[in-house]
Amino acid sequence: MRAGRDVEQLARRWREEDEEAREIRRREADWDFIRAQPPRLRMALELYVELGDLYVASRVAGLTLDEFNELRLKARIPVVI
Amino acid sequence: MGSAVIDTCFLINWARFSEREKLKLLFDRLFMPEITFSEVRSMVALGLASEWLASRFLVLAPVLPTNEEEVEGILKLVASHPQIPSIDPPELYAFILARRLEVPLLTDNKAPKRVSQLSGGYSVPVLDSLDVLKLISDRGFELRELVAKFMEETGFRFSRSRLEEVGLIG
Repeated sequence: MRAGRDVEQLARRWREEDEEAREIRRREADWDFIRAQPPRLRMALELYVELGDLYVASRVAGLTLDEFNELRLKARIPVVI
Repeated sequence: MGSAVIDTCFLINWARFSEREKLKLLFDRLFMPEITFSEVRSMVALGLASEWLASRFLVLAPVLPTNEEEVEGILKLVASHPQIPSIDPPELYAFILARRLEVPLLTDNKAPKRVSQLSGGYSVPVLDSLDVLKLISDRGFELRELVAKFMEETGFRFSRSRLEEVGLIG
């Protein structure tokens, strides 16, 4: 396990990366498409925009990973790494 | 050349990338946990999986009896560090398989990479798509072109810090 100082630095870097990724997803998403979806899919897409977790969002949508990824592409939400 | 483990997301993402066959410059066999294969549904991803399975470039790996301590240790690490996204079952299987085979894990999910970065005890080489594109570019291809094409075809974006890491922005 890394030392405490290293962990803090990593955590800070990860927080910055997560925030940047969230901003990119929010900016590029097709919000008209997202708002036009049935409630369950809309919630899953909004969750994906905030979290960037394809698996969790696919469970909320009730879809497989692949099916949810197709929906993500239609909603123009990028995967950000 | 060697083998690697891939997770479902990586296969799904690379199925849309027209330069996907360049993966064969880096690896001669990819393992995918069989239990995660049911998540693959689209024709584009199934088509690629079928083609790679037929040529034995892709192999479905059976689920190995999980070491409860191993699973518990990873979950404890995730639970104690909020910046590590939750590690879902498909990723957990892929991570443990890569660790047992002692080969890299190819995944675009953040959790396995962060677990590996945080803990030497679970140090599996975890490569995301940008890492893989960089390795391909080292074989004589232009990284900037590969990255631009990958972003356009798969709906990916790379963060500023990652682009700095690979030297695409100063």
